[in-house]
Order: sequence, then C-alpha cells, then structure tokens
Amino acid sequence: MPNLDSTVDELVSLRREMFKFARLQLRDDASAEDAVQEALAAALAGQKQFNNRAQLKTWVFAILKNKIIDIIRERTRTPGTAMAVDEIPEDAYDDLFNEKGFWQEDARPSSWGDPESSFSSRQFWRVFEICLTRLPENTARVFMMREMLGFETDEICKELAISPTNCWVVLHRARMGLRLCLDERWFNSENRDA
Amino acid sequence: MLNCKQAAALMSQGMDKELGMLQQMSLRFHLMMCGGCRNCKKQMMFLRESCERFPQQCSPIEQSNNE
Repeated sequence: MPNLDSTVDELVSLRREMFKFARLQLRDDASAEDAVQEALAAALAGQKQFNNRAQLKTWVFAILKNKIIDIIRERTRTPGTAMAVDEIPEDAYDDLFNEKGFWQEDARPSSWGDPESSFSSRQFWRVFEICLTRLPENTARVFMMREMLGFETDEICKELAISPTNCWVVLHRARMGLRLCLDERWFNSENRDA
Repeated sequence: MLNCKQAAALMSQGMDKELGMLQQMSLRFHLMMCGGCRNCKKQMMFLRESCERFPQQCSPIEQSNNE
C-alpha cells in the first residue's frame, strides 16, 4: 500500500500529462497552467490514497476536468465571446454523397472491425490526438466540450452564444472529420503498427 | 424516406439530444437497410468512447511534428 508521499510524487509526475490535456481544451498556456495547479492543489488537499497510478490518474483528471469547465464558464461570462464556429464550410462533406444523398461507392463507411482493440495501442492515441488537433480550433473546442468535458448541447449554445442548430451542425462536422481522419490514418492505414 | 446524408446528420444529432418519434423511426428504418450508415453510426459511437478514455491516455510525450 503506497503512502501519502508516493501519492504526492505520482501527482507531480502527472503534471505534464494534465497540462497537455488542459492546453488542448483551453488552447491557452496560462489558463491551462492555472487549471493544473488548482487541480493539483485540490488533489493534495483531498489526501486520498490509491492502490495504483491508474486510479489516482482517473481521480485527478476528474478534478482537472471540473477546473477546466469552471474556466470555460468564467471565460464566457465576459461579454463579446461569441465565436465563429462555421469554420468547416456547409458543403465540406457533400462529396461523400451522390446527388441523391446516398454514400458514394468509395466513401461508404466500412467496418472498423474490433476498434476497441486499438485502445491498448499508444500509436492509436497519438493518431487520435493528431486528428483532434487537425479539426479547426473552434470546432474542436465545441466537440471536446461535448465529448470530453460532458457539457450538454444547450449549455454549449449558451456559453458560446451560438444557436442549437449551429451547435448540432458543428458537432456533426467534427464527428465526420474525426471519423474520416481515423479511417484514413489508422483503420485503413498501411503504416499502422498496432 | 431518408437518404444517407440525412441519416448521418440525424444519428449525430441523436447523440446530443433525444430525437422525435418520427425521426427515430425513419432513422431505424434506414439503418436496417443501409450497411454504410450502420458502420457510420458505430464509428461515431466509437469516437465517443475514445473521448471518454482520452484523458487517461494523454501521454506526456510531446510530438515533434504533426505527421
């Protein structure tokens, strides 16, 4: 059973991973640093003990997520934060479909087999992150608010001052973009080393 | 009758809010007949699952480039 000191050491060792995650969500080094420091302070004050690093990581990332959510809410409280989310053009994915709106032969989604088996591959997560960062900035932000931070869409609309329809359209485009990126760079990639 | 483009938009929307009865039924009907859209839906659900796991996988190693 590890003692508290080793918990502290583990927390410190997670700092860079936390920072990287926070920076991806907040796109700003200073806010990311704030989020990490507050999360670490809260974690240390919590004085919990864990049997392994994975448990500790789950717990501390849950705290970090909440700090990031606080910062996003705080940010959008300042006026003038309405942002452009129409970065991916309306017709961006139109060429996946024929004139009747059915999949083009070469664009029809094929089976990814047992995609969950990729979760154990470090290379997969690297590709996943690359695909996330290839999305336009605000599109990625809306997508991550929804899928990583767990915001409901009506709250995203409110926080970012965009219409619900706009929000769904952005999320849909983000999913299409990510899906195509993973398809090309991982599931159908010859360079894949699973 | 939905086409694939509309079905893809609806399945994505269905991940963010509850679809209306008619929307649900027409989507289900389309999915029954369309393997491409079934794969599309699975892939979108997989994205969600990946996002849930992502923080745990966020490695400290910085990439030197994006390729």
